[in-house]
Amino acid sequence: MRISNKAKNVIRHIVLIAVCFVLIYPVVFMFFASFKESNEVFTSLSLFPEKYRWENYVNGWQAGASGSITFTNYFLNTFALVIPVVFFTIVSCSLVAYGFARFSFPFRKILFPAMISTMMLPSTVIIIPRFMLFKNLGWLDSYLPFYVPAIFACYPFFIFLLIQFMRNIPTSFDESAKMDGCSAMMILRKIILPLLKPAIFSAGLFQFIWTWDDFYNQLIFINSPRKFTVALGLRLAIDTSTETVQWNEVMAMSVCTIIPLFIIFFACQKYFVEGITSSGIKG
Amino acid sequence: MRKALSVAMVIALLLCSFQVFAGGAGESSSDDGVTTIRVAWWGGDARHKAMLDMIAAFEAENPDIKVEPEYSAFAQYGDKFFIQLTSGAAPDVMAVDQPWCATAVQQGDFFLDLSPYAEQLQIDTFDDYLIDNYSYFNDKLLFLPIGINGMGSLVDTEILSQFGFDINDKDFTWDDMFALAEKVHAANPDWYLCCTDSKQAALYYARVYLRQLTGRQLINDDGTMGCTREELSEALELVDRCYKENVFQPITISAVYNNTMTQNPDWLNRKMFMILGRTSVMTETASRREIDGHYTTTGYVMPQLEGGVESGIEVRPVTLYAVNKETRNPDAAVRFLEFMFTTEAAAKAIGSNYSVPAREESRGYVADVLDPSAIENVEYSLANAGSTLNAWSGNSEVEALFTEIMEKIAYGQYDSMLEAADEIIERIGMIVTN
Repeated sequence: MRISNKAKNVIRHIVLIAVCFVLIYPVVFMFFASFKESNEVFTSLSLFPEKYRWENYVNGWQAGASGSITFTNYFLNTFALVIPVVFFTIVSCSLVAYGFARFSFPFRKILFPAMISTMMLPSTVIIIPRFMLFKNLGWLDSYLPFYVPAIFACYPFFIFLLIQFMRNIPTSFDESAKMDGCSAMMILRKIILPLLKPAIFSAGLFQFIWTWDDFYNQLIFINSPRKFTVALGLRLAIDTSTETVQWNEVMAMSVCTIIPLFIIFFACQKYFVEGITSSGIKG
Repeated sequence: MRKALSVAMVIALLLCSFQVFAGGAGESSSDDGVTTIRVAWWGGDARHKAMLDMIAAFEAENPDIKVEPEYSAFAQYGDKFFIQLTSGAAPDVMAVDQPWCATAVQQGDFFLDLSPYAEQLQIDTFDDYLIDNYSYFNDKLLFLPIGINGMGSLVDTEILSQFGFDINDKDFTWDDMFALAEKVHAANPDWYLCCTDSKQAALYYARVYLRQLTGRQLINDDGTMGCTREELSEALELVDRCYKENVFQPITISAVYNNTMTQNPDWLNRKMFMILGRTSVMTETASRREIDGHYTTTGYVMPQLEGGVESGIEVRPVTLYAVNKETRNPDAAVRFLEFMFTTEAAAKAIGSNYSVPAREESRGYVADVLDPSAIENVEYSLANAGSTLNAWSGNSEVEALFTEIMEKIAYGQYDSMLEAADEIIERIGMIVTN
């Protein structure tokens, strides 16, 4: 028995909608739970709150603990951490990728695999040596442990992504520019970077989301609550050892925390998809 | 033009970021005659607020000392504690959980000996039991207890009294518990007597039973086992029975609330009626009692073993405070501890956030805010305390091992409890050797 194309389409859509629902349900649950009473979050099976409590957002934002530190501080701190990291990552990784993609230099064949192999190293393995290093440099409780690795292109994944994209840009462009008198840096700035825009957006977006979401490194390197980011601030409110957690407020602040990510992601989605597909790294 | 403006903005933002955040606080420092010390603790919002208020009062009285607070939730504090300690980046004054003390002392010489400051810190006014058993390691005074934890239970008396449970029955035994649980579950198949998780099952059921049975340490000071495999398996049998005879909710449901058992909807919706635990659990749940109005804490009920050697009741500090041995400002750190532990202003600011204070005088300062049943529980526990846990028996790795074994028992992974006991004995051997 042959199934008509229309029926196939319907089945396909039903399956896709079901999968989408499963994937998006935690976010939807979080959104509605942010309006519930704290006890209602776990005791009620209903997705929707009995009463919409907007004050959860107000109370959560003020973060209870110490009136002087609120989520305003946490958000400002997060932007102060994430924006420079993204900026430095893009600049430094573009330069390194340009070097590997376009130049021949001694030990290139060893250095490239060496750089790529660092990608295989789990970050938890090197957390203690990194901690010791940053401690000896006096960088603990500052954002330097995040800025400096970004300045020195310590993100091999992005270098790899950019190299893959650069390889698709014909070298004849560089040669023509060179004949017209362009220096190597000028070729990068005037020819390569404009063509690299989709890949740069992808790298920037990835780095933005990963740094924003990175909890463990921020926990280890930042001590003072006045320097906490949203990830740390959010976790500060969840202490199960001493008292009841106000889950409704935690949910409300979680909603606030993901809003910037949503905005950035959807604003840059066009470039992001283009960058991923054309760099040869296909998801 | 727009592009140039964007670039300028980014650069400005970066510069601002560097200006504001470049310098790490790093270690304690002394500038302009003002000494800065780092003080770290864990807790929830209420404790943070109380500690910050206390610090403000301290700074007002001691303008030459500035306190840099570092606070977080318990899990995060624990993640960082040993990394900071072993790498020499620990704060000047830090909160230490009791099971960490022995582990930390075994790993190195990290804490300042407070013996020379004993008079200044009024050590003789602290509860002797806590100071004698938990503060000294290798004859050095390393840790100061801020509150006392006894052991008992939190009980929904309104429901349980319907099944003949008497809140004042100090001779409540494990057998009584099983009989009560049977009645409760028979009345409603969704009801279970005790709310617990794997860690609670390890600490307040298996370990307590074992101590009642043997009166000895689980692991001797020299690292050898303090009990036989038969004794250990009998203690594990208790937990196995609790799952099989519906004293506990099946782990397939309760596992979701590991470490957050008081968030279990079946506890909140009054389908479970008893939690065995420490005094601080009761203090914590007192706030919920105000909301729900149907929980009654009791200082007495800790099931006993008929013919047992001891009560199995552990009395231990809620939290201890220690000074970093590498601190550049030991005097400032000790002055902070002196203020925090001995003054009325500090005791009032801290209130009941560390359960019942370890100093009797401080208890008097905050009598009006302490939960009466918490005081009753501590007094009863102190009067009926069993022997204290030694360093090995209270070791955090050993506790984690027990917790894991409890889960395996709950999931029915052993043919007999002797098998589980053998696994514990073998793995304890590995922990001790390492």
